[in-house]
Parts: sequence; structure tokens; C-alpha cells
Amino acid sequence: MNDALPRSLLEATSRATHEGALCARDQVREAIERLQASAHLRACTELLADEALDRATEIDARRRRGGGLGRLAGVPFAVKANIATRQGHTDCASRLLRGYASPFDASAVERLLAEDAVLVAKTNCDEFGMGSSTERSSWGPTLHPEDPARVPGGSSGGSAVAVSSRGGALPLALGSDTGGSLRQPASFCGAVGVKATYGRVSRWGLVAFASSMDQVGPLCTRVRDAAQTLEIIAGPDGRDARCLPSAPGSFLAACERGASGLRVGIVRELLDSEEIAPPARQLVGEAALALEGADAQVDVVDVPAVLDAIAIYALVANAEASSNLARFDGVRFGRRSASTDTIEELFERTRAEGFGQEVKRRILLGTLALSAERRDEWFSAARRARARLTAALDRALSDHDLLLTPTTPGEPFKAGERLESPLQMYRSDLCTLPASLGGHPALSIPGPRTSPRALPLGVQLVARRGDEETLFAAACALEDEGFRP
Amino acid sequence: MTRSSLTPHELARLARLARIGLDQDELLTFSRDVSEILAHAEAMTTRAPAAPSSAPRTDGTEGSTCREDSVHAWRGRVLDETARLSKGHVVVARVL
Repeated sequence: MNDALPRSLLEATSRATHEGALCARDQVREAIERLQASAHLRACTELLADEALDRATEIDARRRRGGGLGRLAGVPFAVKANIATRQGHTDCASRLLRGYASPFDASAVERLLAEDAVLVAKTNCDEFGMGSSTERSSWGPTLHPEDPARVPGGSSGGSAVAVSSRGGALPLALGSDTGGSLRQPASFCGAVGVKATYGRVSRWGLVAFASSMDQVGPLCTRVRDAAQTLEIIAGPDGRDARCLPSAPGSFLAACERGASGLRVGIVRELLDSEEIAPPARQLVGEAALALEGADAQVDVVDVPAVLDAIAIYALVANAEASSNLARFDGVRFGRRSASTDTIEELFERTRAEGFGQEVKRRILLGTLALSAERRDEWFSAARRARARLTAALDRALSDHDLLLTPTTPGEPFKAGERLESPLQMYRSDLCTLPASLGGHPALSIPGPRTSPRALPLGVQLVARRGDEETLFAAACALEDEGFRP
Repeated sequence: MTRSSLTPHELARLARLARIGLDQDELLTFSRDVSEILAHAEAMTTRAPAAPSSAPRTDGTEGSTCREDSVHAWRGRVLDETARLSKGHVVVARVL
């Protein structure tokens, strides 16, 4: 990251629009041109240039008339393909939903538009958010912005590439996180990714994958931008029954609190595990030093239950997915297989033709976990293990304000390397899954490069449920201490 | 054969339940993949404490209990009903 960049790109962009120093239309046009120039990366499934320019023109006209402007006036942003927007299509990067246009905006999108942000693109992802590399998209894989032979992470890989630290086209993109889909690609692309407390952001308009973990969240270049975005999109929403009823605090104000006096625990099992590569381990050490430099106290904490996270997730998330994706049957949404004789045949063929391999595999695993013969053996056991893991995280956070871990076990892996082994792919979410299963807020912040040719890598901070303020206080302190790409 | 093994025959039955048509190659690949994931999960299930035979609700509703198996039975009935009615497209669309 260029040190000359402002601490908040959103604030700088919005202020320029408010003051008339730059018109929204120019800023939006430039963002679209940057996206077009990087089209080979396949970060976007769709550019919404005409609608975006019209919207920016309207914002400029309102400013000239002296009308009020929102906090994100003129800020161009993109939205993952599994989050509903009235503009463009919400196809979840699936053949099954190709061409599907949502009649409404997701709650998070509504709130950004209400602040005069401008939607410029829909972004690529693993089909229905199921994957960790953005290779499982019906639009084709998204490429890593710095090394096209590697993956950008996933499933929100398109959004992460759009805001990546080197060559990113936008200051803000929305993604979703079920097992790490905001944080893992953020780490791989040098971006900041935040998954808030479960229920902090309304899931209204997010196409359901695993409802007990799904969360919408921001991907940004800087921590303060993520804080401001989350502050806007968070909050009660009667259209999501699991949305927290309490109003969130001021995340942007928390950014100025500093890390002094915070107790930070490095999770031993996510540092000592043989799956953690040396660069990831080294970066955690650097983050610990930077936090100590900001007067935080850092020690090591044992949470052995985190090592069960992959197995728990594989059973719980896929069981929920098998239920949630039952709605895609060719009757109500998306494509319908032609020339079938019976309704059963219609269901089977539509789903066989529409779903990709990974989605089918997950539905089958989930169906097995929920089947009458196997339910107690697998699904119920996984639920009990999930409760035990959540309690273990809560215990660790009872005498620590934050937990510190690598975000990913290592640097971005090579494209195609893990496609043949689903378990290997799940392993890339080893560090992000615990907070997803526990519902804790977690943030990935990119660290300094170990060499000029090194690829981006991030560390993860996890806080108590409902305490995003501490997360942002520590992350901003890290960024201000020079912990940035 | 361990409890994490899954044969193509069993997978074909699951595919019918999940309403996904699979070809022979997919059956073989998916049975291998699912077995691999279940084998990884076996250690976790042995560490998970046994569930009480009748788990009470934890939502504070005094006196009421909601056994997991009764929820499961209810879900089974809904699925059975769905299958029984599946000859009528409109009915199925509504029930699903």
C-alpha cells in the first residue's frame, strides 16, 4: 500500500464529492475504466456502467442544487453475485440462476445506496458461495491480481480482487462470509475483510447457503473504510429474524481508541499446527510485535477445540446448504430443464444440469448428514462439537479482549491445485472457521510483505460477540503502527 | 468397511433424496470425496459428548420440551407428504 494514500479512501472520495472538488460522475467513470482494464482477472460478472453513470450524474445535480448528500456520496462499490440487487443479475455464479434478476435490493445494499454510494458491478464468486478459491464459478475462475497462476481466495474472490492492495479498482465491495469467504480472500489479495457478529448485519437479500453462519460484510483497502461501511450496513432489520435487535456502536469512532491495555491471545493450535506455513507464522509474530508497540499485552492461549472446526463445518454447513438449496428446483427460480415428463424428472434434471460439482457434492454430504439413519452419528455430533468449540472460544475471550491467528495457513495457492481434493480446499479455511461457527466477529488485516515479490497475506483478529469496536480499535492501531502491505 | 465409507449405491440413494441426477463417474467421484470428508470427521464425533436422550428447549419456555427426534419425525412427515403429492406440480411447488 502506498503510504501517501489517505487513512480512509471512502472519506476522501465522499468529501471530494461533497465539496465539488471532483464530480461523482468522473469518479465513477474512472472506477469503471479501471474495472474494464482488469477484465482479464474476471473479478466481475457484470458491469453496470450506464446505471452507475446515471446515478452519479443525479448525485452531482443534487449537490449543485444544494440538496443533501449521503456519507458515501459518489463512492463506487461492487456487490458479490449472491447478494440481491435490483440492478443487474443475482445469479450466485451458478448456471442454475443465470439471468435471474432480483426484484429487490438486499438490506446491506439498500443502506449503502441510501448513503449515495454508487453500484458499479456485480462480482464473481464460487457458486452459491461454496468454495475457497473462486474457481468454482460458472463464469470461470477469478485470477489473483498479482500472480494469475494463483487463486485470489474465495468465495468472495471477485470482491477481494476489486479492492486489492495493488491495482484494486474500487475502494469498497460487499461480500458474504459463511466459513471465511470475506477474510480468506482479503488475506490473499491484501485487503481488509470483516465478518461481524452473527446477526449484526441483516441477511435479507443474501442467497442462503448455511443460515446459521451466513453474514454480509465489507471488503476494503483500509480498516477505517471497513469500519465505516459496517457501521452503515449493520443494525436491526425486521426482515431478518436473526438480526440483532440492538443498534451497533460507532465503529469509526472506535478506530481512534488505540490498542493500549488490550489483552491479546495468540491461539497456539493455529500457530503450531503443521498446516501453518512459515510466512503465516512469521506474520502473526510481526502483528504481535506491532500490537505490543501499541501498548497491548500479548500472550498465548490454548484452544484445542479449533482443530475440529473443519469437520464440524463440513457437516453443519452442508446440512444447512442441502436444505436451503432445495428451493432451486426449476419451478420458481432460474433455469428449467427442457423436455421432462414428470415433476420428479424436472427437479432432478434441472438440478443436475444447473448445479456445479462442488454444490452437488455439498448437497449430497448434507443430505447424508441429515438422513434418518446417519443424523445422530454425524449431524447431531457435529452440533454438539460446535457448542463445545463455541464455549472454548468464549472461555479464551473471557480473559482476553482479542484472539490473534493467521487468516490463512499460507500464501495464495496455485490455481487448480486443490480442485481434486475437497478436504484440501476446506483446509484453507482452517483459521477462519472457528469464528464462523461461534458467531464471533473477526477481521483480516493484510501485513507487510516479507519481500518485494512476496504475495499478500493477512492476520486475523477475533473478538467477543457484539464487540466489533475492540476489533476495529486494534486493527486500526496495527495499521497505524505500519502493519500494512 | 468403516462408518465413514460410502458406497456408490448408497450415494445414488442420497442423490435421489436430494433430487440430483448423477452419472456413473459422478457417483464414483462423490462417494470417494464424501468418504474422505467423513473419515476426517470421525475423530471429531468421538470427542463430541453424547447427547441427552431428551434435550429440553433452551428458549426459556417453561414446561415445554422439544425433542430433536420429534422435530426430525415432523420433517420426515413433511417430506413423505411432499413425495406423495408429487404428481401434482402446483401442489408440490407450494409444499416445497
